[in-house]
Amino acid sequence: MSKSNSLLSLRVVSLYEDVLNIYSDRGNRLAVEARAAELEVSVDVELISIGDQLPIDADLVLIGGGQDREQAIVSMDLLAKGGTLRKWAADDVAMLAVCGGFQLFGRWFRNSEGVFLKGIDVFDCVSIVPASGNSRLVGDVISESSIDNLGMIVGYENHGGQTFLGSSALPFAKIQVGFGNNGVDGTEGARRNSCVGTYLHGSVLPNNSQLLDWLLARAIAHRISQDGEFDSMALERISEYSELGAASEYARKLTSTIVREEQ
Amino acid sequence: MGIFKLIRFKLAICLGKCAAFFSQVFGRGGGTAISGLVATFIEPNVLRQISKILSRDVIFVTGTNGKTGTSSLISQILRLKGSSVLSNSSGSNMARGVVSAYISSLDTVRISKKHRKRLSSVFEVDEAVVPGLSSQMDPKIEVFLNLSRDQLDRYGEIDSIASSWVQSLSSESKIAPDALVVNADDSKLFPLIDLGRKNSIRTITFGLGDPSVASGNASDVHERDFCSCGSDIRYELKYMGQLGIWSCSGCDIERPIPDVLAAKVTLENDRIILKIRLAGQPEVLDLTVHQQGLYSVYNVLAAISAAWGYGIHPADSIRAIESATGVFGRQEEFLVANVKAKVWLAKNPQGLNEVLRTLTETAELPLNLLLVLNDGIQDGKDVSWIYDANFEILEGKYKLLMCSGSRSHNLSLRCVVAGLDVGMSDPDIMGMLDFSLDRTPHTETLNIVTTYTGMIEIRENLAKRTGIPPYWK
Repeated sequence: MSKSNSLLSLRVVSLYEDVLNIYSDRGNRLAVEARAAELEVSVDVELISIGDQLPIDADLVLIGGGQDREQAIVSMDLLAKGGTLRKWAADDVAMLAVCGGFQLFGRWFRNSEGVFLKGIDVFDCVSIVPASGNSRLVGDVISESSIDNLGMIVGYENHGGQTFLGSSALPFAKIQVGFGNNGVDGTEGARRNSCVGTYLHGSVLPNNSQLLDWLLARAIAHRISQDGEFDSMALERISEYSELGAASEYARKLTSTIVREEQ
Repeated sequence: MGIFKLIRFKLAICLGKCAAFFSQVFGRGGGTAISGLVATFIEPNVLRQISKILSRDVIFVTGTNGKTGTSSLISQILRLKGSSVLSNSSGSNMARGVVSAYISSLDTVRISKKHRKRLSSVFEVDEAVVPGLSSQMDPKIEVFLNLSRDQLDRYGEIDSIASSWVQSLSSESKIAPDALVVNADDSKLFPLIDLGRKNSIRTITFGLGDPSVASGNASDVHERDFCSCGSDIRYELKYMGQLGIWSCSGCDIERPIPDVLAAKVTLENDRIILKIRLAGQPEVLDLTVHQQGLYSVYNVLAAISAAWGYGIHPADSIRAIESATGVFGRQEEFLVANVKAKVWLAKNPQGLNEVLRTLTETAELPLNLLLVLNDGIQDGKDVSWIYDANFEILEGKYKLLMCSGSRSHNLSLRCVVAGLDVGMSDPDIMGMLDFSLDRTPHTETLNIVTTYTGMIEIRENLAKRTGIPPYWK
């Protein structure tokens, strides 16, 4: 008898969605919910903001980007949650940190006012807004990720901070069009275990369903490792035809064509 | 003006006019910006010289949403009171658009010394160019509508826009306006009200006061707002987006009681009925507006307030507003064969949310919809914002859903994420417009929701078919 997966849920934590959402990164959470519905995997999404307690465990954590002021506001609260998040990252919980969230998941961030914000050290990287000021990195991005054949990742970047990876960090992707972490070394984002940091908006997950599926597969694997009862067939269904996947792949190809033509 | 400067000024205006003429004859657009561009190239100071001619009788309207609609209402009020009105009514709202408006008006408004006394100017001004433009033109009235996220790729972050407005108004070299008109319901605009009070500039606030039209959380832009002191903004209730009855949880500021208050709002499918209360005055003004949506109410309140600042009592503005016609491409209707095509402009998450809310709450259901997403410079190159608009509320409320525009693929993907069934998606706007009109049952309405450049293209096509003159005429 097959077990009903609806008994158990994938645990998704979306961090500071009401504060860090200026670039509409909540689209990542919407895509997770839509894809999980296609997979018939039930998800339990917790919106965690300033002052809220993290749940006792999670399979997937999402965080987006925000303005300087909002970043400074969440950074203190995030530090209090840093220990748990670091432990989760080490335990193969899937994570996606975008833009300002990515910066705060690094070691530290020096913002446009020269203020140092301490990060939570999930990724070995530091981010700086150059003292020269007005040199935001803005525009369409096409990158190539060598991680598990994820391939082409498209999106839009808009950031003042520039990120530099430490010696133990791996980039998430290599830039083909756009700036990426700093516009100099050709790297985009960072990857550690099941955690991805990136500068890409779009939102990045609906527009890159292979990355969405990669994170979901890792989240499901994490849930299974925690709780053997979870429907392991979900991992197989992930490779079947998906309406969202088809629409995403079509959009990704067309976007990359448009962007390359504009070059 | 010295003779050389005068000649250069005249030359700039003349060549600008030629450029507009050739653009209209040979090009597709109306040449609404090109003449200003050319004139500014010949005479960089052209704007300052124009503003001298206009002798400060200038109203600026700025904000993320509602600039064109509000400016149009103000113009119609002033016209009804006997003024000739100069405006950049075709929506070209950078410095060059203002110069262009002046140039193109030379035919219709005779700016001779005799007429100048009755000449007023209403300019909608892009959020980012307000400081530069107001330091050159020293407007008499400045209207601030609202401030939410729009085209981050072009403007940068919202906070920097708000502080640039405050800085420009507190600049010592600037002549203070006679009146500031500010939306009381937007906490991000409170620093302007504060500044007006501290500098004894007459400050007229406007806002809503009818809880029956408050939004559920569903259609809000999902964002927490912060006071400039860093604390959370609390809301007693929200009307749309960040607009509502707010107070700061940290310092003692709160939404002021609006001077021009919509005390009762009734939204119907083809009109809005309002009761307006004025600060310190016993009588209530009744009026009916032939527009839809709560955002139109804010435009009306802003226009009444601006006219008040200009010396026209609100009771005298009502007739102009009741007879006001819509502005091009905003809720504009065309009858094509037996199908009504209605064009809605939506260019940022808050604007789109309000259009979707208006459609699902007041239009005839189920809807026939053509959604258009372009990524031109004027639309914004970054289309991520569609993920902050609440497409989910369309579920079960449409029977035809088509996507088009240069980013139709991103738009239809957004619809799939929202669990909606897209009938067809293709970047060819004219093809999809024809197809959608064909598929809309006779006597029903095709609602076309589009970003700016799509609106221009669609409107031009529909106008041509139905014999309505192009927008620059």
